[in-house]
Amino acid sequence: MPATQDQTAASSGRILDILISGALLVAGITLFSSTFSDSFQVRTFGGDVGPAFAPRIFLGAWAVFSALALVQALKSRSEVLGTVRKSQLGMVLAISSLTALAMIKIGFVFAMVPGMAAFILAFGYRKPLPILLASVVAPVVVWALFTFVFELFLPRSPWFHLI
Amino acid sequence: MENLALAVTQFATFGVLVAMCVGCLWGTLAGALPGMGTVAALIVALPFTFGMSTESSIALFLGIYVTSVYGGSISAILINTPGTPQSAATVLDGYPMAQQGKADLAIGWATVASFAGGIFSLIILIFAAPSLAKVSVAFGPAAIFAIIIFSLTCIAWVSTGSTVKGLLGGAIGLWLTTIGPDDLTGLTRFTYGSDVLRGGLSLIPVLIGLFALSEVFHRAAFYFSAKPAEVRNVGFRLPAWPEITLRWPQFLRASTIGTFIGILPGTGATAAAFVSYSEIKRTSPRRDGMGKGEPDGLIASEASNNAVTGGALIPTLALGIPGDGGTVVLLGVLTIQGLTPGYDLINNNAHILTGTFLMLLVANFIMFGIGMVSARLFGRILNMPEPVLLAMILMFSLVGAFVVRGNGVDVITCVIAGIAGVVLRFANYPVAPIVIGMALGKTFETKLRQGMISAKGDFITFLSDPIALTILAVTALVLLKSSAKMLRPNRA
Repeated sequence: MPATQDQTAASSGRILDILISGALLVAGITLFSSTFSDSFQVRTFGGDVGPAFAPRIFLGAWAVFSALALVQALKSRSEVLGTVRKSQLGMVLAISSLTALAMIKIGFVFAMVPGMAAFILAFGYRKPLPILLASVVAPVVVWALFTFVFELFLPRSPWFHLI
Repeated sequence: MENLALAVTQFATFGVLVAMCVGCLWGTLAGALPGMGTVAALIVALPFTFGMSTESSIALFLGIYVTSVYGGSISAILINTPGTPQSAATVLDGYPMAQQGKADLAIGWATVASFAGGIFSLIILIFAAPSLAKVSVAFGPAAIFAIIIFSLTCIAWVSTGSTVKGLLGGAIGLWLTTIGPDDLTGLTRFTYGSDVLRGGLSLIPVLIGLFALSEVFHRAAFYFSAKPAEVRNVGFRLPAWPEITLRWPQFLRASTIGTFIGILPGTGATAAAFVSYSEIKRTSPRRDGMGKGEPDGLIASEASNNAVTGGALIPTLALGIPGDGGTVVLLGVLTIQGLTPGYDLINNNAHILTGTFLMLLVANFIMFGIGMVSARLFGRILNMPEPVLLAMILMFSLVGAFVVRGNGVDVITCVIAGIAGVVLRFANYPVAPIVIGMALGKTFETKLRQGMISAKGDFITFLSDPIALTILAVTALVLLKSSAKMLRPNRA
């Protein structure tokens, strides 16, 4: 299926790099500052350095490295990320998130059957037999395998005992 | 000898053999399917280990671990696309051989080289792991602390993308382990009143999200349905024996490079394959033919990337320090089965370690057999529709995240980690250091605090351990060497 104008977009990797590095720098500094709050002030004994010591090392390193990463990103040349199918990626992210959420709320089988079908259709794939096998047969087989062979219960629906 | 007998008794069962065969078949297939890779293949199998015995779990995972690296060569040779990054160098000579109508011979060379590399590294593993584990008793908290710093430095140094981003990933992974309760004081950290975070983050859901789900999302971003590449000349032909013996120096050199690069935490099979390829290209008498379909190129890549498997298991089994995503999952499986790598595994569960060596040996033989009989079949499977494959990875990822603790929160954590992983990948951030940081974070903090308590809060006394000082000196050298690279702009 050829990509249409609205489906594809060339994105700048440099801008994304700057945004991510900047966001990580802000997050690192914020978290590092939070280790000096009252919630971390606890009495320690026998030379223990306390619960804030290791996080401060990790977050200190985080802040320094993210600052360096930001400098690198700002210095780097403009770089095209490639042709990204943003709408397809968005749909797949949404379907995966909803399927995961539904799996907890309505159980594995009831979430997976529509979730898997929608996931495959989001790629523009339309052959009915592979879709049926992947979205109906596979989840049911996996559910049966875990329930009856391994005796490990996958998330169940509020309506049935086992499914 | 007693351990060997006990290991044979426990591992030579029908269930273990079936698990090993399934693992080898799945590993080869997953390795051959572009985009799957070793970690995703291990993750898909992870949920099944909860219903299996310790021996069967180990057999399944070792089968996948060994054969997934080999499987990558099949697609590299047949469709000019390495199934795993470790097989990227295989394309250089494998595909030209296939274009010359010798795909079957190329698969033959890749199989022989993979087998040789795997067996060589296994021999080193058998001698090195128990010795290192015995020595590890002398490692105090400061030495372990120093080893972890060294590991993270190595991992970051060779990270794809940039060193700074690798180091940042390691720091993020280390910090993630501090979310939740502090073992010494009981204080809950970084939960911000959320009950969901009160118990801390589990490694496996984050690992699944960062590796498997982010791969699914990444491929969704770049997927355009098109006719699959034509697979031609599929089959298996064993190279002539004189041709193999003629090339024994290349086999030995590539296997040695792979094994020793594998021992270094984080360096991995991809780096090993390229280092080996450039070394063989420098020294081989047939170097002029390399890149045009010369078997030496296949030996360089395949013997070294398979030798990494045995090498990487040395620090994993002897010290409990994983070197890459694959060994993080293996370490997770051992922990789930109640085994503690290191001195405890060598002394209290020596038969399990011996069984592990046996399983590695069997896995290499099965890999050889699979290459001989199944190359044609795998060629056909390479035409499997990608959306269906990605949907299956999604399903097994969610199942894998859930079954670790039977907790729905882990499923959500997994998806969040997947989304974070794909965003980081777009910005050229390597995700492996995050996971390895998470695998090592708890030990890092525990050893640091234990050592500081022993040293009565004096950091200089804590670091006065000669082993720790030596390791930290090596770490400083590595950092100095990579400092020039760190200051360069990222062009990955």
